[in-house]
Amino acid sequence: MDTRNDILRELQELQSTLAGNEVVNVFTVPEGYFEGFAGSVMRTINGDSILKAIGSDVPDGYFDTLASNILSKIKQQNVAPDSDETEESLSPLLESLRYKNVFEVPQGYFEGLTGRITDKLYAGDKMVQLPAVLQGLQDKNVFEVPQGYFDGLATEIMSKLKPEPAKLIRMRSSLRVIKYAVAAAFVGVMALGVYQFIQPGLAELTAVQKEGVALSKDEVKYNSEFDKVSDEAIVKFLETEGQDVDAALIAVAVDEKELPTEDELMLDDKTLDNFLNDIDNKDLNN
Amino acid sequence: MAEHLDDKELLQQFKEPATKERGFTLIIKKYQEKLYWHVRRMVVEHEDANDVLQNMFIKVWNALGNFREDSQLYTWLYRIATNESLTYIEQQKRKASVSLSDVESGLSNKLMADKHFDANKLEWKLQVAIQQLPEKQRVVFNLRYYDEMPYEQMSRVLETSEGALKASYHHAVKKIEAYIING
Repeated sequence: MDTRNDILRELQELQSTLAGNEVVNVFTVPEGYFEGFAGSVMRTINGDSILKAIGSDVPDGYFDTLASNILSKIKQQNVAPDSDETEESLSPLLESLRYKNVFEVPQGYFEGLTGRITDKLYAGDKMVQLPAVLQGLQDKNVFEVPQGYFDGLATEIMSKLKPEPAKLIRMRSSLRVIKYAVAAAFVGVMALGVYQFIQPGLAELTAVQKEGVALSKDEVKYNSEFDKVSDEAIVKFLETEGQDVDAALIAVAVDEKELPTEDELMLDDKTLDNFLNDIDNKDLNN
Repeated sequence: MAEHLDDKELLQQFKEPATKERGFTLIIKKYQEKLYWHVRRMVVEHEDANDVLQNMFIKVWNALGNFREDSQLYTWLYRIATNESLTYIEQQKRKASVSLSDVESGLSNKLMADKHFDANKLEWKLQVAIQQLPEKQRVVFNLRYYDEMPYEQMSRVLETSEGALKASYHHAVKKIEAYIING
């Protein structure tokens, strides 16, 4: 109140004509505007619940038919003023068929339509957009493939998919390496033999164990006896003892420091093959 | 012949133990050339392309049982071939302990070492220019320019948005043009 008086006083001091005029609001609002305003704002704020809020005030199924009602009203408005016939009244049958679509589109057709059209547009423009220097080069293949390569490719791949036959062990005249593999396999037998030998209370040694213990005491004799054993017998012995012949070969032939690192094995599938080939070559040379 | 066979039919054959190998053989025959050229343009030499392609199909054999048929076989195969090619190039890089740019120049050198190489011919210049591109742009350019792959499909192969692919292709074309004209 004081403020209004202050403002009036100020206007009078300024000798403004406004000072004598009653304050009148020239603007109007629709009737009942403020009564529904708070609710309207809240419905807008609530967003998702707006339809529910409105829905509670409208007849059941109102929104189901709203679109068609609006369309029919629009149509009515478009009818010539002097015409008193609508399509509905002209032919109720046709009107009822208006929105029954007999045509089908492939499932999901519209979902990717924009992308497909863009692609086609782009594809159509591609040669235009491509620099002149690149046009027409697509079909010029500079690479060659060996004759008949594709004819045999599928067969070659299929042969690699089938399990390979067990690797054959090729024995060589020099059995330096395999000899130590056999020696490694003997260790178990001998250890038992020696243990029993120094424990008189235990069961007597078998003839083979006694032989093994005796042999192990004389390396020269061991080597000489070993040379008399056939390759097949050695392999058979290792297999009978449950030894992996390949693993035994590698274990006795390789210095651990020479083994490929984990990284090397990961980086190149051929690392292991190359390593094994190297062992073979070294062995051949020895 | 195999090119006209429907993927669904081929996959069905692969699922049946009695026709598994036949189905897989037909899949190889249907896609071998397209995939070969895609790989070859990446790794340049035939021997390398052959290795990559065969390894790729061996992986496909092992993984095809888990292939979801809501994806396209064609797209899936291209994705594996692309990854195998890039992995191969990466391995070459690590083995030689060189940077990627060295690998790219190495690929260019391989091109130039080809007995048919002719620096005056546009098609060879184009190949050298492609090898100068960054890895991703090279793949995108090849898929678009040679395989005429729609961006929608390429997006599934490379798991990249169409917008990014279009940008990559645009940059690739501009770089290649500049290389050919100025290089």
